[in-house]
Amino acid sequence: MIDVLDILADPTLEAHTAVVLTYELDLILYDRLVRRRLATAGAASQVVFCDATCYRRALDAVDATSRIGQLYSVTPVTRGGAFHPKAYLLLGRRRGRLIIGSGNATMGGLIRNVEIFSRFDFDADGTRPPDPAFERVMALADQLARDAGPTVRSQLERARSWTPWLETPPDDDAARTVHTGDVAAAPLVEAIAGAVGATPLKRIVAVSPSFDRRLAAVTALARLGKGTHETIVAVQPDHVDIDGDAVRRLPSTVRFTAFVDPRSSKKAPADSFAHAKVYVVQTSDADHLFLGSANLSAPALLDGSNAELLVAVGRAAPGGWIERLDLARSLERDVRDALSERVWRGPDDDEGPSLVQLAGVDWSPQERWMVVACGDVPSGLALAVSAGRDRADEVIALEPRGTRVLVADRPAVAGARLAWLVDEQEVAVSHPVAITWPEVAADRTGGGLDREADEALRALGLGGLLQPVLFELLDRVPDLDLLAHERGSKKRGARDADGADEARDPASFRTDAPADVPGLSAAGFGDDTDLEILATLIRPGAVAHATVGASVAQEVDEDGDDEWVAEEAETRAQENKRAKLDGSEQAATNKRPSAARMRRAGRRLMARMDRSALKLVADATTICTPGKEAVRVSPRALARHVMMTYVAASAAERPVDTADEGEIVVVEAGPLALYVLRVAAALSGLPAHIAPDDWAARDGALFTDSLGFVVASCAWAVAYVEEWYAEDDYLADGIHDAVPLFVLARLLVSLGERVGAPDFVDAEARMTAWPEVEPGAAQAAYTRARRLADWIAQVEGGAIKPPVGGDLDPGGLALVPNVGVVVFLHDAEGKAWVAMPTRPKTPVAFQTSAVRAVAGPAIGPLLRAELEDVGLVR
Amino acid sequence: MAKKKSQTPTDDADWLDPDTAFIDGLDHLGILVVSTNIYARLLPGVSNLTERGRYFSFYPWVFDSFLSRARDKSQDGWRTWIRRHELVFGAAGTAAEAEADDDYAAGGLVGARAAARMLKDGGVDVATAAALRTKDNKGKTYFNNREGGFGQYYKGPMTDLGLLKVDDEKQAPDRRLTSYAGARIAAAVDRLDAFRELRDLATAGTYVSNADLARLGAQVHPAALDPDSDEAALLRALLLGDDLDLCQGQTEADRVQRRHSFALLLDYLAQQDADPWDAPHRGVRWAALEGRLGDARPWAPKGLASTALAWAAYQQNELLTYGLENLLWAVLAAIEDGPRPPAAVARDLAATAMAALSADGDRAARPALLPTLDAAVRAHRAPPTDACWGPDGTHQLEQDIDRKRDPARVAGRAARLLLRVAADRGRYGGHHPFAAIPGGLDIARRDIHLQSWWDRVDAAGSASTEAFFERLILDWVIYRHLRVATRKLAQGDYTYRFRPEQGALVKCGDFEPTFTNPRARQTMRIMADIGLVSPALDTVLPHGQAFLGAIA
Repeated sequence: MIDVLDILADPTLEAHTAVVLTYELDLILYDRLVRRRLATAGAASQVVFCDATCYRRALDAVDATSRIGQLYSVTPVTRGGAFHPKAYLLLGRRRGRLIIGSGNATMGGLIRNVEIFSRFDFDADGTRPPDPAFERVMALADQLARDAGPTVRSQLERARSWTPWLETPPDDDAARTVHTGDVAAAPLVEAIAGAVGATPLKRIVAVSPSFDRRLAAVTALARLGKGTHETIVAVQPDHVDIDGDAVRRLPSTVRFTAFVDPRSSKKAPADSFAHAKVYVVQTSDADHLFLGSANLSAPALLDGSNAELLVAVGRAAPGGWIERLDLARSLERDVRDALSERVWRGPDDDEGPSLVQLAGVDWSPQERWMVVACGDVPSGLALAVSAGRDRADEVIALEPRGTRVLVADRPAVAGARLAWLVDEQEVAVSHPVAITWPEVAADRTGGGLDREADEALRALGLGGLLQPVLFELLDRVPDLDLLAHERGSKKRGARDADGADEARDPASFRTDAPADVPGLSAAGFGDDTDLEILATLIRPGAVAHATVGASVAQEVDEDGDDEWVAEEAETRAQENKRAKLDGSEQAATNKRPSAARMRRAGRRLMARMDRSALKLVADATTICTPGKEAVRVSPRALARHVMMTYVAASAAERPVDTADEGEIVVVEAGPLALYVLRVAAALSGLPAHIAPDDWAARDGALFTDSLGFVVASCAWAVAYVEEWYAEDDYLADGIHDAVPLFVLARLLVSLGERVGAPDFVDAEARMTAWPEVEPGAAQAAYTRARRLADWIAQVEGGAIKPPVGGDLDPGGLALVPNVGVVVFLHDAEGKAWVAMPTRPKTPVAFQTSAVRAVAGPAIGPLLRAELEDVGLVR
Repeated sequence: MAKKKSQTPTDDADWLDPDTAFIDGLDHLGILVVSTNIYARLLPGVSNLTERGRYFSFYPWVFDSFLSRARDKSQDGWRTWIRRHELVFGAAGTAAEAEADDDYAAGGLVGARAAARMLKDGGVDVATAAALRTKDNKGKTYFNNREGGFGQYYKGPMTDLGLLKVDDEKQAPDRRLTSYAGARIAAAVDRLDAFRELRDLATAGTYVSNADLARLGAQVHPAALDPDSDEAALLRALLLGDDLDLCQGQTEADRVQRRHSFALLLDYLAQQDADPWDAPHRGVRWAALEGRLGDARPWAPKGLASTALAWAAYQQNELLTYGLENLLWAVLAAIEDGPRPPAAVARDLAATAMAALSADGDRAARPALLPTLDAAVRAHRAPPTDACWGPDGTHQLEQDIDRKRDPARVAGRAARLLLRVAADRGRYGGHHPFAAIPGGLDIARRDIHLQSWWDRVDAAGSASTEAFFERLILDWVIYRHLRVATRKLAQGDYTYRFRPEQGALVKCGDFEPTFTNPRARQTMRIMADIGLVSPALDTVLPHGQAFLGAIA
């Protein structure tokens, strides 16, 4: 099965843009879940097209917390029939992902229903060219954008310019074909018929939730070929709207059967709805599968009045698709007789078209107000703008620019979310649309750190993991899937006579700016799930005794987090049972989270650390190779990992107070140590790719300022790994935990004079796991690494000439010409490698006579002894 | 999402993997948190789960004896210590209750249900029953929380009361006794022979018979606390905020607020001769709102006007919450027979709400709502206070909502209650209704509460009443629920009562509106435990009279 939201939230895609085509749009779900999943993949620019009729309904859900028009654009699409495709496209500079299927961007479509999808991936580092499906969907989006507002057009134009692989010749051997249903294209039923050519049809199996009243599309399927094949249409009898008269008129070769959810009973929610659209065309020698958005209806398959996407998935052996999709059970129970008694209900509640259909209302500093209509607009119209639907906050006179564009050179209206056209009597002549603001197209991926992040890093440098940092971190790091969007007030935790922290609400974490940091502005508000969890990890005590914080954001209010009313929940549970307290209820009390929830949060944080570090190492491995010296790296990208280090350092080993198990640790020291060392390994190569100007600029300066803590935490990690991972039978994951001291030394060599003394100030306060190593061990590790780094610099600079040849034992250091001082390692199979932190596995493929072995086995603490032997360490 | 799933290799065509997690949830409109925050401010230092006063002296004594007597000072040593003591205390109390016949004095003992189960076997094997729960002994021990009921229910409130403080060095246990409160109270308990015996039984960890437990329980049970003992005096001083030295670990605001709320509840018990409610902790809420006792006598406790106003605001906010939750219930009823578009549901419910309601049993007829909102609000002004319990009183409007008997009219009844809440503003003298609640203005930063309801009504002015309710149902009920549930979905919990599907709402869960529990019942029982009022709550005792005298 396919978890669409999960595979869309893939940070390794490094996406810049998401394009969503959907019939229905659940704005609440998109705002609070889908948008964030796409942002996790990196898609800071999000473009949504949905059917205009559904759009009008969706706008009912807009309120002050909605981010439509601010963090993503939504363009209503008007068609003769319906704009009905469902596609999710993520574009990155080197990778892409496309999911086409039956599920709309709604709760049912992405989470609950019986839906079917087909997934396409592209990786520029792979061997295959992009599937033509990518260009097909992108071309459709381009076409839609031509009728949309200027902001949407710029989003897509930029997406193309950042996606060079879209221009490369597509894969001619692609197994799947994407067909577009449109008035200009051949009817989709012809695509279905064309798949089998002249081969006689044996049977067509269709799954569809919706039909045209006359069942013309069913009839068309039944008459394909010679019209003698069996046509089986699987439906959910309780949900389908069908005209019994039309059922009775169908040829006898058509059967209707009861659809059986192919997912296991555990996987099938009681409120799920079979919304998939599937066509299996069977001949005696093959099954052909089609899936996508097209219902078995005339507008979808026959007359092209709907816009649709249908994927011809390809051939399988006879019966192959029926078996693989577990459709056999859906072919058993005949319901045609029952359906023939049905009365057609027809569509519900259609508001009908308004006078003018709007494609978008944009405001930008350059163009000011620009209204784009779907067709010609009469003269004398004005624009009503409002924060809500009820009344216009302001009415703006418009001037025509061409036949379907109206403009006004007026300033933006604060708080405005919706806009619609009105006539001279201020009577609405169009449905409202969400205003698209310029920040939708803001370049959130290519720029430098802004002022807030600047302040956040300063706060980090001052020694506390402070709330603004968290918010900026959440805002800037897609891995963490968070966005800041408001500014709040300050509140510090007071201390009572005993020195205990004043009781605070979890909400107060959202406003906990450190008042004593000069120049640091107020904290932002986070609005993501992870916020509270991270806050809990970082300041666990404050969750235990909740009162209301000084400032509570609107979205905080809407959390409706049941753990915040846990006392009430447990009270009710007990009263319902008329029970006395006995602790068997297992409910959280005193607003403390459950241990299970905190463990889950911890696992998530560790997984993110892992993913983040692996990605950085992969980047370093790619970039730090001969021939790529000219590749430039932004200091901002590296500063992100510094932020992550601060978060991880604060969370690791910090006890979290839970309702059911008291204090527990959910992020352990080991993952922190490995994370820090991996980051150090990557940073030992990447800084060389920062342009001199970038070092001098603000981002570079901030990065430099933060390195002291990275080095200090890395020294701690060296001590930790040497102490806890030094057993003989420990199998290292990579160079970072095999020879951590060497990794730190190479980091110091790489940073040269850019890094000063390690920042050990208040280390225990900043790193909860600090006492996990012996007192002074981290400082000692740093001293040893510093000496080793100095020695490496001298060896590589030619000041010291090690002897040529000698034994290359595992763990030994050697000077390899044109590479530098490397470490000699064996893997688990005994295969030999030499390794640099940024080139963890380089086969031994050089003239050993040129190698200067400088030390013997050097894994972990042994390195120290070996260096003592050569007189480096006294 | 609730889970992460591995992808199968069949990416060319596959079914959607659904998220099937489903929990009941509680705050489906994200508004209960306002009420719970208010009552946390009104009665700080106790909770709905701190049922008996004596635990506030018992646990400090357990702490003290652990520090002075336990050999194993490790984390596990502490957990074993606290669990065994708590188990013996609860089992002894339960055994004693079984032999007593005073029902109100019973209950509220930590681990009582498990203890009762064990007592059926004739006694309790202390070491086994108090052992930390593992896979192997599931069902044989008495509490999941490793620190027992202390960790689950009392640790936070005792810290708030200044009996304990957080141990910065994170020793085991992670709290320390305060010298000015915890240690003083512990010393008072330690002077009692019965508790020494309790300690011997707990540390021995051996089998204790029902008879021995009952004998012990008769002395250590919370109801057995001698009102004139040092222990009771210290507990009164701590909870009533009499002794500033003892209370130095509490914030001043909390100390004063708890003192006044205790006084308010006690004054109600003193004044209320005949309780027309099914329980005094329910009656006091209505009495605070109306300023009238159950027999309609005026109730204005001396020196407590501001506190009474704060409780009135809580109760009135509760009525707002209850009205909105009933509208949510009505939405669910409207889609019971099949999915319907949100706009259609809101439109129909608003139209239903407008219609006149005929007399029905004890419920009077209600005229149709007036077509403009300001007029409809004016028509729902409260009657004179001496008629507050009559057919037009707010209490009767709340009682009129009968979901079982009259489901089709729930929206109409809820709308009338909401209009009464909109009209009834006089008691606050033009100030913010939460102004008398400590931190109330912070609470009012949330989205939906009494003041924001008034603001919404005022902003609508003379708009159509029907359109107003239609929009209210969309904004504050339907989409509000979807926002709250989507938020929880992002945390891995599926709590939707309905969800949108093809432009319509599909029902996927049930819901019953109810009021929150503002710790009043527990407080009244604690007051009985510490000798302020009789166990049956019908007589204020001399210590209680003295306290009320001091307040007045």
